[in-house]
This record gives sequence, structure tokens and C-alpha cells, in this order.
Amino acid sequence: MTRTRIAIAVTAALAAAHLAAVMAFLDDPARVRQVHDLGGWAASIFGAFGAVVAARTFAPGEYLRKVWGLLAAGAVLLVAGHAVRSVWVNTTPEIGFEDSVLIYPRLLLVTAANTGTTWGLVLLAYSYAHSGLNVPRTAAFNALWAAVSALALVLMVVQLQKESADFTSPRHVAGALTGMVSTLADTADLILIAPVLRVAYLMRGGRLSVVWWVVGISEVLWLVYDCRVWLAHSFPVDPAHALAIIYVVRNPALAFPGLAGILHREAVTTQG
Amino acid sequence: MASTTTPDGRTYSQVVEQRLTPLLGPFTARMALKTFASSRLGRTPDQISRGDVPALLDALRPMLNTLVGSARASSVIDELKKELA
Repeated sequence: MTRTRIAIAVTAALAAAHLAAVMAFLDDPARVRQVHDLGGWAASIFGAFGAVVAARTFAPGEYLRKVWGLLAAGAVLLVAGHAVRSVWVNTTPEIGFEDSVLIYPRLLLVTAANTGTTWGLVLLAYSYAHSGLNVPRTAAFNALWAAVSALALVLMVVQLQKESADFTSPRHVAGALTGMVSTLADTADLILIAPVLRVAYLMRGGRLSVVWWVVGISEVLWLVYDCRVWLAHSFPVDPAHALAIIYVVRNPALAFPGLAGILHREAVTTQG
Repeated sequence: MASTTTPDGRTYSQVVEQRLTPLLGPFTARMALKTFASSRLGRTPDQISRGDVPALLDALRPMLNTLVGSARASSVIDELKKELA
């Protein structure tokens, strides 16, 4: 089995195991939370691993080293942010994380992670133009980009309204700021979906295109994740169950940058 | 006028395009040739002769460095140099 197939199999297995576990404990919210926590750990570690592998593939100073270095830094810091929250929730369940002192370091980690990831995505989306190639954008692309951007902005406004409601104590302010930083970065990342997928489309049929496809699909999954509350109410099942199931898309959304990193390494190191 | 075809009957631009296509896909491989043949040599891909090949490969290198990294870019350029020598 090639490294490419192994990476694809691991990504699929992580998502499938997460989904199966959620389905198995659907009527037990506490267990479902544990499953999401565990699934988040596994997927974010895989995501960070693959991004680091990609960053190490390219020499210092190279454009792709910057791209993957930033994506890797973002992914590693996300693992750290997840760890801070997970450790608190699992060791001090009687006190909510929003009232913990760890909320301050997590704010720093989440801010740094989102800054790195968003900057890396901007560079990835800009890679085609940076290489000296220039293909005029079509009207269809501009329409799609405008539609996705509008949806991202609506999501941002709705989410920022919710997050700005809780400024009752310094810790709650830190918690709200963490959410707002994530929301602003999510908005930027969602706006980058169309440009990233456009690069994939322009390189269709080539081994490299899969890298941009996978990163773009990861961002599409984040879009689904961000719309989860709306989506959960549109299914003919208990919204709590639907929400628990839709939450599983976070797993491949976290893992896909790692898969893309491994695929990028394979694409440039395989001869022929 | 310098010949634009290799001994096996393909044009020089076809040889380069065929080498780039597995990595970049057919559209981007064609686009790269068109862009850099025009900007560096002032020609269309079909007009590229053997004497133009070194300049064309030099022009393609920064693009390849950006999309595949310098190691892979060098190996692609070296393969093309051997094939078109």
C-alpha cells in the first residue's frame, strides 16, 4: 500500500470511527461529547502531522515551505488549544471551561493558530498567480465566489452577535474574544474556498491538483460545520441527534489539511 | 530557419508540455508554455526551436519552484534538458 493510500485510509477511518461512535451513543449526550473530544484529538493530531510532513518536504525560504509552515503552525497550535480545553473539561468537570484560568492561554493559542492558518491559506490560494501564471476569472467563478463570501459574512454576523453577548467578567471576555477570533478567521477561510478550489480546477488532471482539492474541501466542511445549527433543524429527526451527527464533519475538516500535506509530499517526491 | 521539431517528430513545446502535464495537468502545462514562451522568447509554443530550449527552461523554473519546490523543479528541468539535448 502506498503512502497516499495509507493517508487516505487513515483519514476515512478516523471519520468513519467518529461517526460510528456517535451513532452508537446518540441518546447519551455525555458520551457523545467524549466521542467528539476524542475524534477532535485524533483528527487534529493527524492534521498537524501531515502539515508538518509537507512543510519539511520543502527547503527553507521556498514559497511552499512558507505555505505549509504556516498551515503546520496553525494545526499544531490548534492541537495545543484543543488540549488545553480537553484537559480542563476532563479533569475539572464541575467548573465550566469558560470560568477556568486556562481561558487566557487558550485565547493566545487560538489567535495564533487562526492567524497562521488563514495566512497559509491566503498564500496557498495565491500560489498560482505567484508562480507567474495568470488566468482571467470567469463570470461563473465570480458569482460562486460572491455567493460563498456572502454566506460567510452572514454566518460571521450571526456568530459575532452571539459571542459579543457575554462580557460579564474578564474570563468571559477572554472566552468571547476566543470565539470572535475564530469566527473572523473562519470567515476569511470560507471566503478563500473558491480561490483555492479554482487553483485545483486549473490544475485538474495533474497530481498536484489533489492538494488544492483536499484543502478546499476541508474548508467546505468547515462551512457545513459552521451552518450546523441551521442544518440540524432542516432534517426530519431530533435536532439534537442531527447536530451530533453533523458535528462529525469537524473530524475530516481537521484531518484534511494533514492528508493534503502528505499528498503534496507524495506528488513532488514521486518520479514520473 | 531553426527546426521546431525533435528527431522523433514532436515539437519542442510538445515534449515540454508532456513532461509538465502529469504534475500540473494539461491546462496549466499548456498555459505555462504559452505564458513563458511569450514573455521570455516572444514566441508561440509552436515556434520554439532547439536553441530556445535553455531560455524556456530557465523561464519555467521559478513557476515550478513555486508549485512543486526547488528539488522537484530541478529534477523536471534536468530531465527535460537530457531529453532535448
